Amino acid sequence: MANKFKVLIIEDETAISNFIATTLKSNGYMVLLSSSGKEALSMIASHCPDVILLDLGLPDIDGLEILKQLRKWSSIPVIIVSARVNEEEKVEALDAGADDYITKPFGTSELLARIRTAMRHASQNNTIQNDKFSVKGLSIDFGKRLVIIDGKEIHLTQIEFKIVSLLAKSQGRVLTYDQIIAELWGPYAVKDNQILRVNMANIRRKLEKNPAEPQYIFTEVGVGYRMVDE
Amino acid sequence: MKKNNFNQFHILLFFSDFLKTILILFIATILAFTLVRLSAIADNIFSIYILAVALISVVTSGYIWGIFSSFLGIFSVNYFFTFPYNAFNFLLAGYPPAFFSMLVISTIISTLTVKIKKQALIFSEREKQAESLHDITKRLLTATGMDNIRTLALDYFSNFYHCSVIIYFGNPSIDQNYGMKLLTEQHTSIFENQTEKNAAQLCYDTSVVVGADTFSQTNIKGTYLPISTDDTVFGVIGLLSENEGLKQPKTLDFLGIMTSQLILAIERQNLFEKQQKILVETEKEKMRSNLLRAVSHDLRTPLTCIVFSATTVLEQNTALSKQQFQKLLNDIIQDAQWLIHMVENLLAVTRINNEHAVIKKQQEAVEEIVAATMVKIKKRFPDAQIKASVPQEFIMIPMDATLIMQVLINLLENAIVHSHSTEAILLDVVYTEQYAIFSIKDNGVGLDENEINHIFDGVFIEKTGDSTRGIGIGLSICKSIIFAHKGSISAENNKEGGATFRFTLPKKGEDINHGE
Repeated sequence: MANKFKVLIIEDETAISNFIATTLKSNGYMVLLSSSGKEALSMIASHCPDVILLDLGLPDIDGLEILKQLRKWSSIPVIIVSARVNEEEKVEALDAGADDYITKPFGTSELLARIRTAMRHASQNNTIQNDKFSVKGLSIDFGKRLVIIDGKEIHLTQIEFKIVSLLAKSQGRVLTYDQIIAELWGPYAVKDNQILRVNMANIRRKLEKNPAEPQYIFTEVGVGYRMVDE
Repeated sequence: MKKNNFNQFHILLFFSDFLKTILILFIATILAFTLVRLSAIADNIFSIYILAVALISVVTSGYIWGIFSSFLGIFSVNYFFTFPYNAFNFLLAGYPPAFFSMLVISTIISTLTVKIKKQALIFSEREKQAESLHDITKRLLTATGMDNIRTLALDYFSNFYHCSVIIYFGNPSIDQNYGMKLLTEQHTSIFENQTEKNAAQLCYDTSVVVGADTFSQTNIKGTYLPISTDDTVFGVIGLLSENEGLKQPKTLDFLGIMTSQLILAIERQNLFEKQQKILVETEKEKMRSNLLRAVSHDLRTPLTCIVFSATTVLEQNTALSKQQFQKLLNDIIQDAQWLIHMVENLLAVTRINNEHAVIKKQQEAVEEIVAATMVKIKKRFPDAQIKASVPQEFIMIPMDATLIMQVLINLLENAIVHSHSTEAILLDVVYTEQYAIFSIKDNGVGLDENEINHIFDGVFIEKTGDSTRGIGIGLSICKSIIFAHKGSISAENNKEGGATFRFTLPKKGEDINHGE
């Protein structure tokens, strides 16, 4: 491949960054490494990577701060690599403009899938959106407002359809409660996710065979929802 | 107003006593006339009048009426029954001694009755005190919690002395921990007045009675008593009343007795709290030491395996067959994943231990928790057969999602690894009025009946050895997590084989959003 995708790994633990680098190189990516925040910011400006993997716990600058500075001038997809189990931090990063997050420990396939998703969405942003969507047995026709599962049409309310199509359009990416609420009810809506979650429960009962083991829409506990990716 | 009432009451009493006296004397006179008519003997007349005087002393209050009636009686006898009839003649022979003895007798009788009456009054007062003391003792004995004790004491002091009461626990000015029971609203401002507060503080500091009656500071309106034993001051009781009864030494003595009952209750409560604290501490300490033991024992094994396998792969890689090579690498992954799981359990424990077992609860949808757990467990055990189901009803329950997921994962892992069965594990949730009940049922070998009662104590790891490594600690962590959520957890063998683990979570947590 002549045109390799460039991935910048911002991570201060060399063991982790080495392992990610090896995996990515063997999968045909070009890898840049940075172990501090300041270095990373200048590398982003000079190398223009296609995807950034960002660890939030850096020695010099807070990862969140890098993200905020970056988002002032660039929309390069950023995936947060977090060792912490703290949901609030993930939500904060996502709301600050991160595209996705992945929690340590993670597997290679999971990492590669996230990178692919992030890059796909980055390229989609610049082209016209598809009018149709399909994954597994679920297909959505945005224009006709149709949702079909295994050939059967599913009746959703206005709000339910909006939620499903919003998740479908960001397929594979997690959307936080606040992001969904802002998209549906406007940026000044009350940030109370109770209504959203009741709606999600109804959607689950309409779309999923078993609400306890969903196939299409996954819950990221304490963070938000994600539409299944292939 | 009150003074007027008081006077009216006295006037009323005077008239009723007067009427009683006249009535009894009148009846006695009629009786005497009848007797004289019937028998024509005047000898018993005096006795009739003495009886009347005695009666009058009993039914009226004070000495006056007895003495008054004995005079009146003597005049009547003289007037009606001695010669000359219907006229006074005190110079009759033998009359002065009779007159004198009658006066003495009636005086003695009235004095005695008055004394007896007074004594009866004192006895009834004593009885009332003893009764209320008994009552308060009984109630204080069963009261739990400082606030309940204070409310009880406030009620009793206030009812018994008809006054406003304030009770401080601890140092009045530092702890500011007080409760009041007021007769009138104005008393609030009096109690909260700086002079009164200083008096309470002085009482606390010196542990002697301070107040209006001690003459040391005359502008103090209340009376403050220390709640103290020889070496400790627990607080201060303040009494505020308009009548003067409070200032009698006897009243203060009885107050002292009531106070000592209050002290007993406070000390009992303090002991109880201390004991509770120690119990929680030991429970935590037990868990921590169990954990340490598990960590030192259980973590070493997989780490050794990883190092050994990795070394073999590195050094012998030409001598190994492809299959052996794969097996060693698989072992490494397995052990590493087990370590990750263990670390997650450790994190869960620190999450509970950090905030004094106060966990951060948020409203979470039960079905989302179950679904997210299923995703996680399938990642680790892709081949495991698990069937999960949730009720049609959608509810949200306050919980720490990470911790509850950890519980579900531990229980599922336990079922997968230890049931020795390939049949599907059932994860089920039902709702009752107050609880959500989660159950994990397998069709495996079941539990050792002897161990069921201790299965969550995390103590039987050593006996069973490496085959169940970490499970004991996993289950004891489940117990801590569920207890911290005020739920319950249990295990039992199914009739048709296999085991069921069950835990409950209260649907309504009392402390959502204000658990520090």
